[in-house]
Amino acid sequence: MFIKLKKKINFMNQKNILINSLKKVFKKELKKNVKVTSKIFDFTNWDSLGNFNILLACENKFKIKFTAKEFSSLNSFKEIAKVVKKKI
Amino acid sequence: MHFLTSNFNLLYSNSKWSELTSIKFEIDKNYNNFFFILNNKELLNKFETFHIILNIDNKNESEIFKKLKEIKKIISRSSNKYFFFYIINKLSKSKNLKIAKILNLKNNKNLTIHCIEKKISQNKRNKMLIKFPFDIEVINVFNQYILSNIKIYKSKPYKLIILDCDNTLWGGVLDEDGIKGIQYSNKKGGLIFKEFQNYLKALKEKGFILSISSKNNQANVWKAMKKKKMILQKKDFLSPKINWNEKNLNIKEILLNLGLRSVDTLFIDDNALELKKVKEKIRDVGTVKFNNTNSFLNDLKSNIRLKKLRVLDEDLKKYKYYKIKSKFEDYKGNQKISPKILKNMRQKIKFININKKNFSRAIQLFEKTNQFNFSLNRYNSTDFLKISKDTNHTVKLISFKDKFGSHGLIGLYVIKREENNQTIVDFLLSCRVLHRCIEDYVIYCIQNQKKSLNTYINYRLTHLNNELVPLFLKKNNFDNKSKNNNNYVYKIKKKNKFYESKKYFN
Repeated sequence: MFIKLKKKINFMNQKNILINSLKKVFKKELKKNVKVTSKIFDFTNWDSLGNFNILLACENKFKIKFTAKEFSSLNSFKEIAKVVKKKI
Repeated sequence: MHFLTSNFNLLYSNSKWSELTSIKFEIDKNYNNFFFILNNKELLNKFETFHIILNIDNKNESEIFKKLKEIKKIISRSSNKYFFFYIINKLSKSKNLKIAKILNLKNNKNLTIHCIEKKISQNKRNKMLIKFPFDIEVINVFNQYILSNIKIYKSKPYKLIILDCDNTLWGGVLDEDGIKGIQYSNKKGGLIFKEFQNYLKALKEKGFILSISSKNNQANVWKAMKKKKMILQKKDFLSPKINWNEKNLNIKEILLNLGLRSVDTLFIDDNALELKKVKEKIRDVGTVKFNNTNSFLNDLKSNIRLKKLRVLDEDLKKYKYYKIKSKFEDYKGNQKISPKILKNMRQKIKFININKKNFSRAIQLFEKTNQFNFSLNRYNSTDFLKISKDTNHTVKLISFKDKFGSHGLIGLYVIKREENNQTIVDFLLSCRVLHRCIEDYVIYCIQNQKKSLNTYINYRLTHLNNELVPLFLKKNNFDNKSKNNNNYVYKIKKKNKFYESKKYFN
C-alpha cells in the first residue's frame, strides 16, 4: 500500500515537472502565463503561427520530433503535454 | 528602425527573434509587404536599414530576379537607406554574381550582398507546413549575420591610420639591411608585407587617411618605396613624419597638422614598447601590434572600425581636402594664424541649400562633428528631412574655398524663426577649418540677412564639445539668457565685432 502511494507521488512529481517546464516554453513564446486548460486563440499571439512556434520550441527543448500530422492537429496545452510526455 | 524581410515565412512571432526586436527591428509578415513599403514614401522613411534574406532554388529563381530588378531603381533613388542582402544559394556561385549585376553593386553604394555559407540544414516538413524551409536553429545564424552588420552600421570608423616603416610596411630594418636587404616581394618572406600594403591601399580608396611615423631617414624611405615598386608610394601618405624624434611627439604633430582627434586614429607598429609609450602619452589612440602572420591580417580585416559600409563621394574627396589642409599648415609654419596670412588666403564661403545630392553629407556632418558643434543633435535622416522641409526652419550648408583649393562642404546651420526672434538651433563646423574666422563670418552673415531680428544661439554642454565652443562664446562676449540643465541660450548682441571677419573673405 505504502509503496504504491510512493510510486504515485513520484509519478505526480514527474508530471508536475513536465508541466512546469512546458509552461515556461509557452511563456517564452507567448510572453503570457498559460493555464493547463488554455487553448489556441486564447491569446492574440497564440494564432496558428504562434502554435507552430510553440511546437518548434518544444521540439528544441525536449529534443523530440513531431510528425507532420501532429503538427497540424495539436492545438491545446493538454494535447501538447500528452504527446510530449509520450515521446520523452 | 530596421526592417527584415525574406521570400519565405520568417515566423515573425518566434521568440528566437527577440534579440532583434529588442533593438527596434520590424520583422516582415509577408514578402509583398516589403514591396509595398518600398513604394510608399512615408513608410520608407520610417526605417533606416533593410535586411532581405533570399532563399534561391530552381523553382523561384526567375521570379526573384524579376523582383530584384524592380527593387534596383528604388535602391538607387533612396541613397539615405541601407540595404543588406543575405543569399542562401546551394546551386552555383555564378548566380550570386548575377544578383550583384542585377542590383548594380558597383554603382549603388548603399547595399551589400552576403552569401550565407554556413551549414544551413533544410527541413522538408517545415517547408511544407509553415513555408519555413530550414531547421528552427537557422534563425540563430541569421541573427549573427544581421547583428554584426548592425554593429558595423552603427560603429564609427577610424579616420587616420599611422604606420611604422621597418617590419611593418616591409620586413627588416632599412638602415641596417639596405634597400636590397629588406623583404618585400611575391615570395614567401615578403608576401605578407605586400598583402598588407594592398589592404592599406584599399582602405585609402575608401577614404581612410594614411600617414607615417617612423624612426628612419626620410630620403631613404621614399627611395626604397620607389626602387622596390611598392604599392604604397610617397603620394599616398599625408604629412608623414620620418625622423629620429620620439614617436608620440611625431603623432601629436600629425594630428595637429591634419586637425584630427586621437580617438579616430589607429597606430600600427611592430614594437610593443613603442606602442605602450604612445598609448601612455596620447590618450584614446587605437594601437595594433604588427606581426607577420596571416592571422594578423585577418584580425585586422575583421576590426569593426576599419569597415566602412557607406563610402560617400565626400569621403573620397577627403584625401584632397586634408592635403590642402596640410599644405596650409606648411604654409603658415610655426607662426600663429595672423590677419596677414588669412588675408592672403583668398578665402571664399558659399551657403548652399539642402538638396538630394548633399543630404547624406549633411547627415554625416551631424553624426561626425563633435568639437565645434553647438547642440550636438544627432538627427536621423527622417527627423532631418522633416526639419529641412519645415517653413519655419532654414537649413544651409557651408562650402569653403581658399587659394589651395576647395575644402568641400565643411559645416551647416539650422535656424528657427519666430516673429521677432531667430534662434540658431544647430551650428557646426568641421574641425579641419577652424580658427580661420569662418565661424565669425557665418554668424555675421546670419545676423546681416535679417537685421531687425534678435538672434539667439543654442548651446548644449557635453563632454564632447566643452572646449572650443565656450572659448568662442567667451571671446565674443555673448549674453547668457537662460539655462536649463546643460542647455544654454545666448543672445548675440546687435553691436559686435563679427563684421571684422568680413575682410578675410572675398
